[in-house]
Amino acid sequence: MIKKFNYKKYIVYISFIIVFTVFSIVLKDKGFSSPANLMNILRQTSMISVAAIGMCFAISAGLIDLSIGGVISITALLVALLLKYSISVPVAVTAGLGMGALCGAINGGIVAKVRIPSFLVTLGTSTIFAGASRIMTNLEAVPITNKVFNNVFGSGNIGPISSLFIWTLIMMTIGHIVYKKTSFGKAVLSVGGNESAARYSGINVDKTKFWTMVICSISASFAGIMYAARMHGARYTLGENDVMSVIAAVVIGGTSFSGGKGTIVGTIIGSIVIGILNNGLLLMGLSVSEQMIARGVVIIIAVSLSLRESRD
Amino acid sequence: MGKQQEYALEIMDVKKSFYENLVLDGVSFELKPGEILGFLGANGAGKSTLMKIITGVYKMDSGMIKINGNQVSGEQISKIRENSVAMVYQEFSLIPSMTVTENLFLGSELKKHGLIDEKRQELEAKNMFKEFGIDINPSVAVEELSIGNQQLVEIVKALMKKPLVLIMDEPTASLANNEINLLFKFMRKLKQNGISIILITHHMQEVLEVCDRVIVLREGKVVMNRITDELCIDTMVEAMVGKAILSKDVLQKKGINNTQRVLLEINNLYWQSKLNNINFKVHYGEVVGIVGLLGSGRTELLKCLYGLLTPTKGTIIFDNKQIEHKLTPEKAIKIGMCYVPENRRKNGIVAIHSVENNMLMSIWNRILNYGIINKKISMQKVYDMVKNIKIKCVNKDQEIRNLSGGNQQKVVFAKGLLINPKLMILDDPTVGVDVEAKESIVKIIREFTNRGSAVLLVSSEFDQLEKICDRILILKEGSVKKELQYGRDCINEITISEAVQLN
Repeated sequence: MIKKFNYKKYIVYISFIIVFTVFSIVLKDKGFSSPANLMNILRQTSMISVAAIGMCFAISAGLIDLSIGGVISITALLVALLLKYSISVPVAVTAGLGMGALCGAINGGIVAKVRIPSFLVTLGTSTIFAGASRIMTNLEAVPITNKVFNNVFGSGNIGPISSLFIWTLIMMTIGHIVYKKTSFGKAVLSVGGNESAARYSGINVDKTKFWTMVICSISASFAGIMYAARMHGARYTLGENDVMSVIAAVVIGGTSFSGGKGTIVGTIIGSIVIGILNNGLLLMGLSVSEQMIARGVVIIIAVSLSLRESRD
Repeated sequence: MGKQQEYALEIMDVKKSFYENLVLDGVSFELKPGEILGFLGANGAGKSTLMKIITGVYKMDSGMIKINGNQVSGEQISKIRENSVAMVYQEFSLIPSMTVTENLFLGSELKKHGLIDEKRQELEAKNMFKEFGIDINPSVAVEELSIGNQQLVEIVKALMKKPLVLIMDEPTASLANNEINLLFKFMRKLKQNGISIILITHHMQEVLEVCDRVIVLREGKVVMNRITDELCIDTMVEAMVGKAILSKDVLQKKGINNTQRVLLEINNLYWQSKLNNINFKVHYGEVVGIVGLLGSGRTELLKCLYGLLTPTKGTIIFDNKQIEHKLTPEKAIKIGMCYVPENRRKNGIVAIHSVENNMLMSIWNRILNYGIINKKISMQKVYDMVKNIKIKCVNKDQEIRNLSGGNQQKVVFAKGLLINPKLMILDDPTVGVDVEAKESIVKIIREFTNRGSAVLLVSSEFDQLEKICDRILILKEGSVKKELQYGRDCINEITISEAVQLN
């Protein structure tokens, strides 16, 4: 009954400040806190952020999507191929998002109708999607020469601000409104909080799960489009290692891993924490293998701080 | 445990407050060895705080506790308590997939060469059951036992450390009548073995039946401490709420006549083997009670009506329209039904969500403005409900799990009422709520039917059915065996239980 300062509510901001301060001090000479590097971090983080918005919906509904890596690369490759054959940008982008929706519909359909846990469904589809993206171009990379596409969705800037970051803000706003202010958002949280009570209260649980998985895949496919535009091309390796970062971002952001509670804004901050981590470890001059170990350790610490539930 | 003392447990002037809020205001009482003490009090009276102080979860601010004559204070507190006081909680702590023996010895397994000695455990479990005259096979999985037997296993588990005092928190809440009798028999056996029992309950009939003495707690004080023989239900209720409740305040009943419009008509309804050819009608403005023992199909019947189960055969006509397609709760709500489930924690509330989110769960899609939830309307609706049915909460954003059981149930009712239903389906809506909340739930039902809507009510509390039902259907083995009708038959607790027991 003793009221303690509920640090968990603010853990994402606390970890943000800690990670930022530590790297600012340690990497002072390497220009970590220079405006150019900070914008660089936001640019690198955008794809994680956008994918994490969808993941936040999935985790809030008590679901998870392990297949987003495959969705990212399939979308990026599809858009790159379409642009290569001179399809217009809006059509290519719509087709890319449609591909995301299709992948999500496969995940969601199996989760809702066959009633298999989303963890297992997407564990399976993750290798299916990843395999499909390898087949698409026979492992070849596809360059994108369409300047409009590259500028609008990736490497362009408006003033000093990267278009990637602007897209992140747009997606965050849409995500936040859907999450907090629509009946769908409430349904997602209810299903995640207590599926049975949600069903008794007239919420269509299957439908909610289906659309949550679709939203999660669509946001991953938007991240794929951003990757393609930033890299000026697509390759099957895009998004390959992002699943862990995206899930960690959502959890560090304060979303309950068992569902029912979460925040979109926190998710974005959580992604930026992950981004700072990736950037800082790189600037410290660690090798790739060392980075992997360090990142894993820090993520476990951050996640355990935000997940430790008081038992009552 | 040493020589026999005069008292197993002595509580002296125990005080406890949380912040400014005085929860226990000098509570004193004694418990003799082998005494069964009934402990009554409305939700929030301080019962659970006191029990948590006795079991050592909370520290008291001042006062003294003696266990078996020894004052417990300082460092030995936890040790003495651990050995002398055991508590059986409302929710089971058993692991369903494990066997009874495994559950009993969980955490303190008997070992041989570092490995679990299953044979010896099983033997000891058998002896234990034999000693208390319980007929349970210790090698079956707990999930295969009836709820009543699970409750007994739970108690035996608490007895494993041979306590002097056993505290039971509403042990009968989920039991059927015959299981309750079994439990009482067991409690009397424990009494003979010199174990003292504190029984926390809302059921006064049970107190009269099994307890030697009754203590009533109100606003942190002991307001009554008397031998059961001197008591009747009205005195206890009066002590609990501090005023006389008009317990015979009967709902204006309407003897139905054939001219009244039919709201719900059920014809030849079957569901698997549990429901066999059910036929009945519910009229506008009517309260129809359904009575039956556990396994009589009462819950299944309600679930078929609300679309939680799909009937194998039969027709349901609601509001002059036959329900054609597969019914779901979503559609049931759309055509004007709501459902208050039996198990509130499991099916009624999202514990980690706010009062507001719980209350509006069914109607979010009705208060949209261009797809966005209209904050003004949603706040107004919550505010009105909190005011109308007197829900005690800090504000609309308080997590519902921090409300008392009765107030949680009121929120579940509010959720149903906000649907604006023509028919309310209630599955034992007053289980585990205190007397005052019960009264206000009865009031809610009354006001609801006065506006012309109908209620279908399953309840295991016959006095409540007597108070509010216009008609009572007796369900047995999945079919309606008898019908009691106001104005034609005598409806009271006795006639209802007679009809239920009927073969």
